Amino acid sequence: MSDFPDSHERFISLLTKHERVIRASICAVIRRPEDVDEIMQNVSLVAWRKFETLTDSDGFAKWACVIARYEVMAFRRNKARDRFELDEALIEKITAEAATELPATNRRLQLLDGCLQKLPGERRALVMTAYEPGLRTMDLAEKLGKSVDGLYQLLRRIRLELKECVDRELAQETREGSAL
Amino acid sequence: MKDSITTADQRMLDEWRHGRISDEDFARLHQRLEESPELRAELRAFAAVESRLQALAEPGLSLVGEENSPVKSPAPKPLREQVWIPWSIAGLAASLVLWLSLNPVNREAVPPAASAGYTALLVDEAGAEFANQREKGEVGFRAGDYELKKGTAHLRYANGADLVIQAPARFQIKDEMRTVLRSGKVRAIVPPPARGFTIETPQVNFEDVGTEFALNVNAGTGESGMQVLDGQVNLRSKGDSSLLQSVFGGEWIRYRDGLIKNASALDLSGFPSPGNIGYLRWGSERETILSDPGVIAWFPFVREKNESVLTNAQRKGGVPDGRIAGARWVSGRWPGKEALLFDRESDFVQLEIPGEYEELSVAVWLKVDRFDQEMNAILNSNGAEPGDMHLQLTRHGLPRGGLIGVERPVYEWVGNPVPVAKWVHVVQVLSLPERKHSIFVNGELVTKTELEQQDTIAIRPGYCRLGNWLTAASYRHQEPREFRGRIDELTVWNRVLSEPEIDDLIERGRPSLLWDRENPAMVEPLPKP
Repeated sequence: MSDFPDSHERFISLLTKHERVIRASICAVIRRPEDVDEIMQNVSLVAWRKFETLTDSDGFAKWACVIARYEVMAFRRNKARDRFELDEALIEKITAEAATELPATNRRLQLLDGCLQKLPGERRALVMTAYEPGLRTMDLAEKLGKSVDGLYQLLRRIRLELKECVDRELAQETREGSAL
Repeated sequence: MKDSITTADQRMLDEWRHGRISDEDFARLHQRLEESPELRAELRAFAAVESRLQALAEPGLSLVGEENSPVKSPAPKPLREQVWIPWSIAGLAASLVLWLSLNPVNREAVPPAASAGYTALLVDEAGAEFANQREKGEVGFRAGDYELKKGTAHLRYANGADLVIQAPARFQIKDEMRTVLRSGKVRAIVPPPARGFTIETPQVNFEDVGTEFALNVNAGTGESGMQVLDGQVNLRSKGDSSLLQSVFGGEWIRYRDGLIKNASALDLSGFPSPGNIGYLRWGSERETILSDPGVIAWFPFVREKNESVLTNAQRKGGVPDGRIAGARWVSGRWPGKEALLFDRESDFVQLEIPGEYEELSVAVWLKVDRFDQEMNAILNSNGAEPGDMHLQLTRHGLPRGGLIGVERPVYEWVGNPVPVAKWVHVVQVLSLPERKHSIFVNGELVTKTELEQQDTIAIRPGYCRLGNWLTAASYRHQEPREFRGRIDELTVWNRVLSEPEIDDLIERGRPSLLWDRENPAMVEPLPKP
């Protein structure tokens, strides 16, 4: 146990570094944020227990994503209560593909912050508020004096705008990269 | 690769993620995801957006514009990104718990613009470019020095005072009550809570105790010229703030080297009002619109010498100018913008959109005076031949349209109708390959239609009437369909417009800051189409 603190620090450091991309891979197949939280918690525990079996730190993200895939499956079998859940074969496909594109996903997440900045102030405030844990769309809509459907449509457009902004930035980087 | 992903796919993905999908659509989405690697990648791209938003959304976070925004943060709750921290590990190493609490995992720096403490916010602009490395889209202004190099900017201070600045201008924001204008032109509109709002110039200070004034400071001489548009402004000395003179509505003054001078009034055309900014911004988008290769026609509604011509500014698309019959020139969305008023049965603009299309989008800014008819035509092909296009509003204000000869197995209204007496943006998007026909009002999907599978009919608008319908012989027994209201812009694309593009069009063309995109819902349940 003498080397425990070092190992622990290394683990936390790697988890901190790659948490965003692991979470994004879970989020692709699990739609409820509270379920994603629970799976993320399980992934971190399992990863810690098995951490000593990981020989190459560079492979941490991919390794953790494999754990995430199993945890998603386990969650689905034991706890899933979502009427609109994807079936196992499809989850397998989506998560396996996700594991092959981790650097791109990481870049996507980085670019998103810039895109968020480009949103007009009120839209940014709205979308950030809407994602606060525990806040119900219905309550927010009431506070804003909007219909629930109107608010949902607005948020949907903002999400689409953000995604397309990231797509554009990535395409631009690809063009610039290939021009060099 | 993206070509195979439809807007319907994107809609289903989002509806699924947010639990709003129907059983039928979920089955369809599942099937599409199984088959399409592109759609699975699209799902992961959306998931990346969502997971990041979830992680960034901290309770109590101060956001730009929050003080002026109806959105307020709810009471603090536990942070989502802390929920999953492996507590068993933390129990094993208390020191790391401390480390974690000081460096919470994923508690990344909030984007710089997302912090509070601004003295003023940029609420509108037209081609504004600032020096000092301000980024485009940055809206917060703290105390400090600024230089507006190009365009027009409208700032709103925390106390409600509005300052419209015309480039070139150099200014310093001291606090919400005091701004130094070193050079340039500004128009200040000061509401009662901001009484005492003062603009300091190199030689003299102007204190507003009324409502609105225009001020110009010469960069070379330091001379200032000020005209009170409404209310009262006090001229105060720089040293002891003693009152030099009060100036009242309609009066003007010039000040140089300690002397109040008699001179001519200011040329107010160089001092845009907040209302003018929208028009300036819209005008500055001309090149953007015309350089879009998808735009085959853009009618900006500019009155020509020959007042019966409605000019199509896009000369490359093969769509000729329109001919105005009866409709009269009136004012549009902003002061200076022209529109056509349709208020008689015989009023219309004759247009021709030649050619055959697989996809077509039509966008109109309009303001309805009243719904006189069962159907009120915005833009209808003459007659009713296969491929002819219709875009109209029902008596309830619900948009209705489509293609003659193409059946619609699905046709429903899912949004709010067009209200009377309000400028609204209506877009019809037609796609035969996607078998889709959608009508958006102020960016909200209102009419959702699926077209039947067919491969014999193309979109052929041909000869059309704006604001009316030349009835086909077989419809002669029906009511006329003339529109009652104003139209001040019409654009036609030979492609499908995406929802973000529609949003951009609305932001660029919004009539004013106070204009609300959302329209009232119908009191009665939506009627069946």
